[in-house]
Order: sequence, then structure tokens, then C-alpha cells
Amino acid sequence: MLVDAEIQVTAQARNGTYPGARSDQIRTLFLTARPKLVALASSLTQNPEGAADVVQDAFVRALNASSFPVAPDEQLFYMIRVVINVARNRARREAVAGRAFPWLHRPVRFDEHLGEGHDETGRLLDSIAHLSIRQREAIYLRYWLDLSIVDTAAAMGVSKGAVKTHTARAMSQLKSAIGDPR
Amino acid sequence: MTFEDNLRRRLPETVTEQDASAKELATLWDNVMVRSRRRKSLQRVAAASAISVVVVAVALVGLSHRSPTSLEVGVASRGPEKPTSVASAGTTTVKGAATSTPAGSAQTTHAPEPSATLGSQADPTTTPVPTSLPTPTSGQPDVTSPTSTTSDPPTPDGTGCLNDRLVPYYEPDVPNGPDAPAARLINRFLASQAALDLRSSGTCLLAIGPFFDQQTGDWGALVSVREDTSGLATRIRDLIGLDGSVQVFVSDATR
Repeated sequence: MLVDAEIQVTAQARNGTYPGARSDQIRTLFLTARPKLVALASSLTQNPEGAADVVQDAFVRALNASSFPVAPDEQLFYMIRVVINVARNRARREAVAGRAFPWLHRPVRFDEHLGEGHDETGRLLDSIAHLSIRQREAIYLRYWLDLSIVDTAAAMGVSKGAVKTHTARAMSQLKSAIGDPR
Repeated sequence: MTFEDNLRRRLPETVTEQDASAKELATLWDNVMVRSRRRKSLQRVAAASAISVVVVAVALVGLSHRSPTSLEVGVASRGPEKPTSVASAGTTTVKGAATSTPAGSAQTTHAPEPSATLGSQADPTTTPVPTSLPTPTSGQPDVTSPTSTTSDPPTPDGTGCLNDRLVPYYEPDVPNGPDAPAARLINRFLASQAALDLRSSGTCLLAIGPFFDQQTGDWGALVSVREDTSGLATRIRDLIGLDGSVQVFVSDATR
């Protein structure tokens, strides 16, 4: 026969509110979603070497944040938002550092990691690298993660109109850079 | 195929997803936990530091806002106690002087009853404070210079004379306080030839300090001497009573 304390623990385990449940949920998310989040951070910051650190920093913030959602289907979206914020902050910091100390800042090109036979992809990467970080966010969230405009706006922390504007300007630049296949 | 479809097809090629082994992931997660704990402790330290800084800042602001205005109010309310505090050696003599005023002394005929005046000053609520204070004239001594001359105890020989312990200036409790005009008068006297004559003549100076005339509402200087030799009282009054707005009382006291 279960005593009251055991009943309470069992209920907490069932609904995920037991002590340490949040940490366990974040750990599970880290183990499953880390590769995709690292790839997203790498694309946004245009810095593959620092992407893993961005994701790690994002999970540190999630562990210390009280706003981490309880619902599992919202947790990945929450982490995407955190990664975007951390990546954006880091990109701004690196841009400032690049202006102040240009000899210390060496931009890392994606095509350095691609090898041979990726001419079109290399051109696309080069074009994406010339977009602003907001435009990159809109492009990757809309066309890589296939998020809706509403979700993209929520992830970027901007309005739907702003998402459309960023997307349209990014598409225009990419079209002029790599050509329209139609 | 639209450009959007083309982009949707080619964009994943630009993204490199790197898988990690379970062991590597466990190590990475441990790093996350370590960084999380470090971040929490740093946040606690930062919060404690911020609280300390705020407490110190509030304390400093509080100290810096002890304005002269509030102190002046305090002085005004306790103003009547000044003569007692600065004329320790002469207070007793002053009381005695009320009954032993020499006949023919023009200076003391207009003086209020000293004991009654000092006693009535103990009630701060009824004590008027001069609203228009006389402005200092050029050449007056600096009233901010230190120390009162009359707060010292009686001399070891028991005479109570302050002659040998006169210092040049009397400092009011608060610069520009209600007793500042009286302090200026006293300073003028102490820096004068009359004070030097007082020392050289051997006349015993028993007390000197600010004095408040409740009847006129004026501050004055009370100088108490044991005996008025060679018209010293007249000379002192002539010297420091030049300012008509301040009445000077000279008490010629004898023991």
C-alpha cells in the first residue's frame, strides 16, 4: 500500500513535475536535438567552430531559466528561440570585435568545410553569408526547418510582417546572386 | 520549380549536422551542467555585490543629504542652550552679576536679568530667533577658525580666570547659525587691543560667549569680568557694540 508521499512522487513522475524533472527533460532534449541546433547555430553565425559553444550556452541558459516549457512539443521550439538569441548576440559581438580588432577576427567560410564538387552550394553559401543575420534567420527557419510565418515570427521575436520583409529581401539578394532556376 | 522550392532543396546541403557518440554527448552534457552551476554561483555573487553597492550608495547619499538647513533648524531649537554650554566658567558669575551691578555703570543698567534670561532660554519653543542678522564687516576675523575660549575648565589655581587661555577666535556651533553674529562680535573683541590690554592689565575675564536677549530678540556677546578696572567694560562695549542691531551686555561681576 502506497503512503501519501509515495503517491505524490508517483504522480509527479507521471506528469513530469518531480524535483529534477526539468533538468532531465532538458538533458533528453540536449541528447536528441543537439545536432540540429548546432547546425542552425552554425548557419546563423556563419561560424561552424563556435556553433557548439552557442548551443551549449543556450542549454546553460535554459537550465537557469524559469520559463522553460513543460509541454514536450514546445521545448524544441523554445530551444530554437534561445539558440537564435544566443547566436544573434554572438554575431553582434563578433562583428564589433571584427571592426575593433580586424587582425584577430578571421571569418570562417563554409565552403572550406565542403570540399570539392560543391560549386553551386558554395555560391549559395557565399550569398547567404552576405545576408544580414535577421535575413539568415528568416531563410533557415522558413526553408530549412519549414516553420510557418507565425512560428518564424515567434522564434525571431518579430512580427509576421517583419518576417515577410526579411524573407523577401533575402530571396531577392539570393536570386540576384545565384540566379533563378525558372 | 520555383526559387523557394529550389532553396528548400538546396539549403540542407549548406547545413552540416555532426553526430556525436553517446559518450561524447554525456561529456558535453556534463560540461553544460558545470557551466550552469558556475553561472548560478556567479549570479549569486553578482546579486550580493549589487545589494552591497546599493546599501553603500544609500548610506553615502543619506550622509551627504544632511543639509545645513536641517542642522540650522536643530540649532535654532536648541539655541538657548548655547550660553550655558560656552560659558561654563562664567555662568555662575553671570548669575551673580545680576545682583552686584556696580552703581553708575551705564552699560549694565539696560542689561536684562541674566539669570532670568538664561533660565528662560531653556524653552526652545518660545525663543525668538533673529530674522535679520547683521552682516559681517570687512576685516573681521574668520569665525570658522577653531575652538571656543570659554569651554575650558577653571584654571588650576581656582581663580576661574580665562586670561591665559584665550585663543583668538570663538567658533559658533554652526557657521551662519543664529549665534553667528554674536560669535563675530566675540571674535572682534578677542582679536582687539582690548583683549591684549585685558591680559596685560591682569583683569580677570570670567566668561565670554553668545548671549540671547529674549526681550529684544537679539543675540549679543556676554563678557563677564571679575572687576571693571580702568573702564574696561566701557572699552569693550565701545569696541564690540558698534553694531546697533546687536546689543552687548557687559557684566561686571565680583566674587
